[in-house]
Amino acid sequence: MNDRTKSLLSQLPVVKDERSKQTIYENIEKKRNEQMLKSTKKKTPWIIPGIAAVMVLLLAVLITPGLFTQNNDASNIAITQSDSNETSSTPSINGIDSKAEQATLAPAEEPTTFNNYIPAFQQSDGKSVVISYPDPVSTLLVPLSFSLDESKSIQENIDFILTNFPASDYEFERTPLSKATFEFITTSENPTLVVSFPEPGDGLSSIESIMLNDSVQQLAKSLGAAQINWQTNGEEGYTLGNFGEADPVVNKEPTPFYLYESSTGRHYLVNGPALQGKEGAEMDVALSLMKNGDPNTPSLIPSIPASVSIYSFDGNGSEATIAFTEESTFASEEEAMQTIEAIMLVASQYDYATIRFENTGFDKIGSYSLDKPLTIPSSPNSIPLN
Amino acid sequence: MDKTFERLYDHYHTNLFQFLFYMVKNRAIAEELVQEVYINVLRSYHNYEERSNEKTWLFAIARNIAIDYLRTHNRRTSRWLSKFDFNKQQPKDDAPLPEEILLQKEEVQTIYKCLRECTLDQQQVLILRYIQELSINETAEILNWSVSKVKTTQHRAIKALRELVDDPSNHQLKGVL
Repeated sequence: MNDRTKSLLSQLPVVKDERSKQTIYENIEKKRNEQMLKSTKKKTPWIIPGIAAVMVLLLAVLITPGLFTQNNDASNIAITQSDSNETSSTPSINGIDSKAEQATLAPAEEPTTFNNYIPAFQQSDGKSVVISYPDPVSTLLVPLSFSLDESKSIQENIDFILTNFPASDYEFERTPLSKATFEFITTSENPTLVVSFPEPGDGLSSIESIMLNDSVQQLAKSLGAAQINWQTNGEEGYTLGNFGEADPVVNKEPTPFYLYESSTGRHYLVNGPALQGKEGAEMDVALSLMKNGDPNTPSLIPSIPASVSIYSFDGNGSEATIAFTEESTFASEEEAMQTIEAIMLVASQYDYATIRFENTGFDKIGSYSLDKPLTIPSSPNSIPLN
Repeated sequence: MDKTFERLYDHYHTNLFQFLFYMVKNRAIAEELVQEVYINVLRSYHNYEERSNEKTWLFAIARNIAIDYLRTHNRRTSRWLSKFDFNKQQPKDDAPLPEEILLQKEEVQTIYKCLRECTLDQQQVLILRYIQELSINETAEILNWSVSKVKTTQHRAIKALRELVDDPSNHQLKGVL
């Protein structure tokens, strides 16, 4: 019967494109021109608001010192602390490390905020946990970092995040993790994330299986788990649709980080496909993909912009130095922030702890001072919650 | 005319178009998608490394474009039903059969209809292996899967297709959102 089925499949007719080569070529050229026009048009609306924003900032810089000249240093610090307390109670998309700001910035200086980009979670902010949310527009999984309260169980942490993170405000769907319960066992030799589902996953579609597996893998990695114990109703094992039994090994293969622009206009760093074997052995391959993009993942934008090229990459122990070419230019501080955080997050997968950047054209990007090596952030897309 | 386009067209167009047609089951959409493939290929051709197989590289791009289309299309039709709610049945595809298929004998028409009911992974393997007649290694390269995964999926796909042919009411959950 199998041979009969195969034979019938091979009898399906050859279907030919009836258009001429010339017609197809003309259509392609037309579309390419339209796409070029669109990308040019997209950029122009920002010019006027951009100039206006720069003017406002300039005025603020000129006016602000006058407001504070009568205050002594101690009162300045008090004002800043009070401000940061107030702002910390309000969820914001910038996720800038407020502690780091106080430590490294002048007391009266405002923290840097970005229009679209959500910065990474900093190690100085404590431990983070990564919960991934599907964007229904692209069916991409976006990893978001939340602060981990170590005095509580992982399940309590996840419950808190699921309750307090307004996923619909970001136009995300429910995380695939919402159907499971979790326990993190650190007493054994291999820290283990136990993930238990109330129902078998045999009926999951391929995309659902991939999203669920990737979400659990991201969570396990962020917790530092060495293995995953998949369970169904308390019984060992879980089936991921057509993929079969879920893999208990935490996938440590490196992945490039790309930029993803959601329909809300927010920019996130998201993982590309894992680099396997020799391809993943060298960080250059990941950087090259982040610079040139991956034709297999067209919805992901290169995180290293076209106007920026890497001149050299030197790794020395746990520190790496990345020099951009003299000609490299970032369109904005926000673009530079996206790029250096994407590079640092990739570097962390190759066991680098600090990165020194040269020729960025900035002395400071966000909270990073570029005159010294930067400590690699913990995880991408930090979302502060109350 | 761009020389790269001309060469790729002469070598691969028939196969690429056929692959896209069987993926999306619609001539007009396949015509649009094959153009998208060329646009992507011409945009990134300078990055193409000759150490990899040009044919599988092209098919991998075509496959991704087809999947992107299917996900978007399925989302448009079933977004408010599924909402990433696991295990929900997708709406049945009642699109009329293309002319090329209507000209075939009934058994072939049935296999075409049943192919539409397989999961997306199964469909890809069946199209690449038995319609495009690619090897297991080529199929694995295009899908970025291991050879063993191709073999397993192929085995399950043939079994699923045979069951569907025997009992067309036995619809499976489709593999895209």
